[in-house]
Amino acid sequence: MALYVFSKSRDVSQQKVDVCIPFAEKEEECTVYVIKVSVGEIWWLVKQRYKNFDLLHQQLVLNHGLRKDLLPAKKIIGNKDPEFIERRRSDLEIYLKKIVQFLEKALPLEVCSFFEFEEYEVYSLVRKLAAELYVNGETKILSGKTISMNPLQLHAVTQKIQLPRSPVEQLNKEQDFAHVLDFLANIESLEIVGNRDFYRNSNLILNNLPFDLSAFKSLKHLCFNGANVSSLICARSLRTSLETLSAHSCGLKSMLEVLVCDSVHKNLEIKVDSPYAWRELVSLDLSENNMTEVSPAAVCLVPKLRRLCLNCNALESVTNLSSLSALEELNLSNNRIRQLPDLHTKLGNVKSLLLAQNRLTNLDGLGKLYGLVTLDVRSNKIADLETIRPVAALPCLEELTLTGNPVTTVLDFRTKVLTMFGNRASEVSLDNEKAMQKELDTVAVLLALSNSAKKLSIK
Amino acid sequence: MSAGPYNYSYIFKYIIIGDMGVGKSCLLHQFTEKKFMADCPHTIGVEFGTRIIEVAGQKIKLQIWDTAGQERFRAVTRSYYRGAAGALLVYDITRRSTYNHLSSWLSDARNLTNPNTVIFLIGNKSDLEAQRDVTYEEAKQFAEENELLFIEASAKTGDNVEDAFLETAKKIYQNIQDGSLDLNAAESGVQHKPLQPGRSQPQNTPNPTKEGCAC
Repeated sequence: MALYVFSKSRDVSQQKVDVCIPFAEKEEECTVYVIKVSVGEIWWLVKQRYKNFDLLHQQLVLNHGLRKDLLPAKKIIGNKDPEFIERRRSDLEIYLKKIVQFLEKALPLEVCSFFEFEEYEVYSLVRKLAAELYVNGETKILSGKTISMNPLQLHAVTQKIQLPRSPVEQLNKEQDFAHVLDFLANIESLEIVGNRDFYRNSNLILNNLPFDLSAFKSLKHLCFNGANVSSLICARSLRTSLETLSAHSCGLKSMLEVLVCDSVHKNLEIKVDSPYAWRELVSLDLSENNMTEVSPAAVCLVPKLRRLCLNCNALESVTNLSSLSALEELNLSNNRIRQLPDLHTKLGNVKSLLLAQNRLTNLDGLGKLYGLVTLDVRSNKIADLETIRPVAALPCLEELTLTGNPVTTVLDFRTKVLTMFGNRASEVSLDNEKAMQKELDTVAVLLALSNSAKKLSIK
Repeated sequence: MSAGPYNYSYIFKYIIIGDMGVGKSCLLHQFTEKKFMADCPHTIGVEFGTRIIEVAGQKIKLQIWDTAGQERFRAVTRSYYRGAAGALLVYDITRRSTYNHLSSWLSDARNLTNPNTVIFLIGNKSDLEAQRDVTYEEAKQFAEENELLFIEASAKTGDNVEDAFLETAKKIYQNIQDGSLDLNAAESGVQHKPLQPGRSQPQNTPNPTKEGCAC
């Protein structure tokens, strides 16, 4: 969907500009005329006061030789009369139609900015971006911060690469497209902020605009935020360079939607050396989507993955993760998981497992995850103290979070759980707190008691 | 700040032109990334690359526009000639047709660039000696007749690629030094690093004057 193109070149499809003023309205005691600008199938609304029409006209007279009397005349008294406003609306509409007709071949910049082209149209939008980056591009890159862009900007750049340069940008060094491409080529971390609603006062929907990211030569971290992942036309170069990929609030039902976003066929064969594999990806964050399961084909596409976040989805079980041999961190918080039978057979050697806000009633399947260092099961439905015992026996566990479970209301809950850790009680952080000396003393007494009880029973 | 993408005093603009499949994008890639791109896709519209080089002690940022060779993008390609300080005209030594088209590319370049634009002829794919279709001598002669700099290079092995880009820059720099290229002309394709608030300025450069909007 190309927007308006200024070029007189016949090779480029030039879409017709049409304007009308459907109505006028009051805004802070002033009358504003609502202009509807249509370019091809896209339209948007611009509000302008009479004063701005007058300013525009003065410039057009000065710079483009328009006749002075073309604009409906000023009126000082009685200009709030509804009949007058209606007449003026219709006169101004005729005026705008005339100037567009006269100057259609190459709309002057004054007209473009009057119609707010810089918000909607490829050339103007890219020029505005270039001028901004000319000033602050270097600072932004050197700060190393994540750069946010919307799909319209990305779409405009994608289009612009395929379009001839306009005479305007050849004359104004600030607006040179090179500033944009140079900037994009140096971005390491990009966030694409999408929107499903109409953009500003237009019929454009950002999430419907396709784009590619081939101009981003240094990209390592990419985040879709509420954007449409299938807008990305080609992810070819990203598959060998990207280290972090995130997609939040994108309505994903499957991991494949993002991993093969640029292929029509989502039903991939499960194979290890797929051309769709993301070879350098170590972190995948697909939180806040609607996934109900992890597809085995998707897992094969991320062989080096160390961190996987699937929190805030609709998963009911942990399946198909066993081939992620490098996985260290797994976040499954805020899902619908009830049970985790023999988790060690389904997961590799993870160090951090977050299962907060699920529906777990016990921790029975976790007893053999020997590499586990951090376990967060807060706000589940664990009521039985004994179910914690196998977890407490894990040799590397250092952090255990149980807050928000019914079991925490048990009398002397902390000392009882700490006692389960035996000699390691002092190394453990339970519910984000290391054991206090008083607790450790109690634990020591309890341990001594149970030891002597054992000895007695042996005798 | 000694390294990084913003430590330079001049910008030189280049374009790379020539028939489809002669290896324009691969030359750019080899020059900017020092790698050979084996399965290079067709360029859609334009590609863009930069690299900072040093000529006579001056840090120079090359802004390189790599154009599409396909006929359907010719209008786009032509729009990038203006304001180029250097033009790399590429043919494929294993395909005579790409050599035969040089005169048409050259006339485009002469018509659309400014008279001071340095045009460098590159015979690419010099690693494929066995399949050679254009001799060094005839290309050399063509270059001399048309007053072009000439080299045979290989984007695959990297042979002479640096030289082509650097020699062009040296020639442009020489043109600046002897005054034949005016830095302040709108279409010279050469400019000082933009001086802007918040932008860092590299040390020991002649204090550049702020560029106007070239009205």
